[in-house]
Amino acid sequence: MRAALSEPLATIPVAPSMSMFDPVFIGIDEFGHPAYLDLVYHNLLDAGEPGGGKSVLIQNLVGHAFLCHDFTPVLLDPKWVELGMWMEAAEAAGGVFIGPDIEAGLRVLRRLQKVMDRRYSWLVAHGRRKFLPSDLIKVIGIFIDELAYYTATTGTPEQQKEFIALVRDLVARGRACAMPVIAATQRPSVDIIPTSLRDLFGYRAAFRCTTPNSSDIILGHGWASAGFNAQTINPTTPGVFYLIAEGGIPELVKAAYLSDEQIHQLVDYVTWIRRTGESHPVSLAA
Amino acid sequence: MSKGSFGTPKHKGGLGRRHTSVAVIQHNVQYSYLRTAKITFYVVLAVVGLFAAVISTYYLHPLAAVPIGLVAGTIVGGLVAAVIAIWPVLRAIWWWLPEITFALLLVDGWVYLQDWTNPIITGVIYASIIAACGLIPFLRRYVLALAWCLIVRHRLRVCFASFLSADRHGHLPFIGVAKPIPVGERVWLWLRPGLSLEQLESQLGRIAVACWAASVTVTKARTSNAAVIYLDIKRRDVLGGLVGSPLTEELPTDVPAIIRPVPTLPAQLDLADVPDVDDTDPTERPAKKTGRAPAVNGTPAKTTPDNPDLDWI
Repeated sequence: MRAALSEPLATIPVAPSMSMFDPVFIGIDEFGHPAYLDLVYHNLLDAGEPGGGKSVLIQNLVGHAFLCHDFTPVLLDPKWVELGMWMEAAEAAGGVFIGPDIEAGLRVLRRLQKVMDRRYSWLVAHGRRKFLPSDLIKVIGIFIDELAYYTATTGTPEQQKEFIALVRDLVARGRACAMPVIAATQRPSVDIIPTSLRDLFGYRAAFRCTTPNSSDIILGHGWASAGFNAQTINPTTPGVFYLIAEGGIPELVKAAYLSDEQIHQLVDYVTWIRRTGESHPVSLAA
Repeated sequence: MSKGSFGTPKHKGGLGRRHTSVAVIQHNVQYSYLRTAKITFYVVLAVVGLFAAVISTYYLHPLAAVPIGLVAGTIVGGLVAAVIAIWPVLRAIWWWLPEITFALLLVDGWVYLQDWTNPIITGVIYASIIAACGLIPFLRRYVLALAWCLIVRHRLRVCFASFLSADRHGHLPFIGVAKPIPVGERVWLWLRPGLSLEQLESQLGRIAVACWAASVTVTKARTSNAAVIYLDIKRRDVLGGLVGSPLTEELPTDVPAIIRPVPTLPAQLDLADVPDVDDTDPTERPAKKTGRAPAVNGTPAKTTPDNPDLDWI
């Protein structure tokens, strides 16, 4: 991730010809350099206090994903208003959108588990360890907003436990078979998300937190005392977050902002090109 | 240089001998360099002298090789010992090296210009340079960033001297190069034995105050050496502006809007619009207690009054 952040690309490819295997532009870092994420082979935990800008980051990732030719969306959003904006696009792309319905969420997660098993069987049959862009496999991006709603709020304890178990399985095994999980929640403490699940996320995005302890829960123990404390993020600058990758050093990043009009424009475009079966030629950014 | 970390008397404000113990510490600090220099001199003298003498025996008589070895060892050992002995001075020069260099450049430039033109024109040139640095925004920012780099090195030295002393001799870490970064400055340090990254982490707030900064972060500069670290002194918030997303920049403008189904809009949007109906399954409620618990003496507490007329209350 550090290399990806410090080596900006010359251009941002914006076209259906983009791939989920391309670096995803998420904003700029403290040095003014573009920040990119390698999404396919990593899972992302997006956390912080309400109003910190978690949705801004998720919308960036979803927007990039829908502009990719090799993306199948699975969107879970109990609030409807964030990922629900992409409902029509998800349907057009052959994906799924789930609202505040844990049973529907469980059904789609069970399906995803079967898909994952089949993909691993395919890899075993071909003597491979992970999918590559040349395999032309569809990347199933699993975006879960307000994860705590499904794991600690709604449904029976059995349903919540099964939801956690399925998400843990996807996070643990989905990386190599092109099924990344991007989950957002406000405070991923142990009463909301078990540590065994939280610690599996390779990328952690810590938006502003109310305490240094909350910051450490997201980034990992000890970072707040080293000065990388999400509590110190200026509350007047939403969208700023610390981003850490496996074994790396947290970097302060400002997420790129997509307005509602831009999201509608993107939804119109990706729905249109998929429903008509046409791909409008779009030149790459200069 | 911290003198309080070694042998400092616990009783502050004492008289007589207690004050002399502080002087002993200062002597020790100075003595450590001289002692190290002496030991180094003798070691280098022995090693270099021996090697020089052995090599000389190939070309000279052994008796002539001995004084050559002694001379060579004395010269080399003396040079090395001199460097060690004056190390505090060299260290001070290193701390002030950018300022010394800048001052020398100013003086040399003035002298050079004096050879070519008169003092008035020289003054005008200098005034123009100073005015340009102050008035042109790009130059002003650049000069200020460099000035902060100079200031920060000295402020860090104050930090290490006052509350981050490394060892009993008061040796300070090697404060390396400082360079401007968008949020402030980045300074490389080589820690001495006795200091660790964790100790610095516990003092980041005090370092930020000493450096007149908003916050400070400390990071290992190398994975192979824990002594090499860098501090990011942050005094500017560069992430306050809006960062636009490029995702829609190249989209065609003639895309037809999708026909979204018109949802049934709920009209009852206030709390008063939702009736207070208890729709909880009675079987899920906790069972009501059928009676009060027995009293401590074993006699059941009364649950109904003796007067049956009051039962309805």
